[in-house]
Amino acid sequence: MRNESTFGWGPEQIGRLLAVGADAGASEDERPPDRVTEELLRDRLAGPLPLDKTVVDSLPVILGRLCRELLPLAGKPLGEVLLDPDTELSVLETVKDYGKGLPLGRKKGPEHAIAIAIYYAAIASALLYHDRKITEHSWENLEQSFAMLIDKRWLPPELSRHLAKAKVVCERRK
Amino acid sequence: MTARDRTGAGGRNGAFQKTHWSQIVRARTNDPGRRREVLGDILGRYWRPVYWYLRRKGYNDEDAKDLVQGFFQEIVLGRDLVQHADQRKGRFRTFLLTALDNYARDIHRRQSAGKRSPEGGLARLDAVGAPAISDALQATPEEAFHHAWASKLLDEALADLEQECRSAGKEVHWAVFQARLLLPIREGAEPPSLSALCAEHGIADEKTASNMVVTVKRRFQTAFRRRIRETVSSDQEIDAEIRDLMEILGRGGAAS
Repeated sequence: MRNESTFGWGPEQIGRLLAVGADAGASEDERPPDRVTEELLRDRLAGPLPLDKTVVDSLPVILGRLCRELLPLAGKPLGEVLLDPDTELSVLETVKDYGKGLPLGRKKGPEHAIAIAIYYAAIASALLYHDRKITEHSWENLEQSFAMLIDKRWLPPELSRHLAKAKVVCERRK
Repeated sequence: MTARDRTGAGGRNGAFQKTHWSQIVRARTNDPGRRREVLGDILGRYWRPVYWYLRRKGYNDEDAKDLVQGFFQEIVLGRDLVQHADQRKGRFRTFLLTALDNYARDIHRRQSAGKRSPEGGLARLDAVGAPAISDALQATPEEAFHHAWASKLLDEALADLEQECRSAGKEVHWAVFQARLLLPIREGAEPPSLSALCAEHGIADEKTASNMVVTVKRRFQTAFRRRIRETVSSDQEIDAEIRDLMEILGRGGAAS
């Protein structure tokens, strides 16, 4: 049924699909919540840096030269962008905004955790690779946030190590 | 059924939140090229709810198409509606329907005044493809509008989801999701068993197949919320908007 519209569906069918969109049916998921979050986060990190025509179109107005900096990265896995010391600061700021802009879903659900992990991973990368704090959070707040995330069982080890290094930087600066 | 309208608006992964409010504000420019581009995008996305509203008001296909273009160009963009609307609180759907109600009341007077079609040569709607006949035909104008609106958002979310699955090499995930969830809803049939899906797609076991469905459902939820977010002013409004649409569609379903 690829390429088919739901327009011909009746109200009841549309309503049922809306219900699916409203609640993904976590009760059917037999995996432990941490496992679900870990898998979704890994999935997100392995996915390409989100750039599409709309985003690129809006960049010249909003961010100027960032457009040119980001275009070569289109399609590069997000995890790779985050953990690459050569990633430009402006790109990390964009990724941070991406984490901030992810729909949070049900509060404290997996998507919420993923958004927070990406958000703080970008901040950590800016600290570690550019010695820049790209957030208004205080050093104390950042250290606490990193510490809280490091303990999460769903956080992939490479991100956990990354945040642990950033936490050390925060400890020194505060 | 018609081909799903595909658009990149909003971003596949929603990297930058863009609402239709901001899009319309951006269209209020002296640059005719830019204006036409934004108008074309909005028209491409939302002509169907407006069209079906007008059809249910009694206009024939051609008149409704002309009026749709007039509505977007002259009313939505041509007046100060957006600037006067409280964008912080408003939902784009409600805004559009309210403006449309007023427009419909004004149509007879405008018809007698002469020209309805917008100036500037937008693509004609019949070039986009005729809309499918659906149960919306039996609904009130408002119900038809909401039906088409919800359908459009769902189509966009499903298109996003399919693209996401395919670009991530998860074609089997997508196929299982369709077979287990979309087709049964569309056909009103029982979903195939997990064991049957395993056999058909070479999946190791039923638990894996179940997890695939759940994973794609979660992604669908995210994609759908992202599309809803484009039409409301804050994250907090997303759930309320979904509930609202479900209630409206529920009423329509009960009536039909």
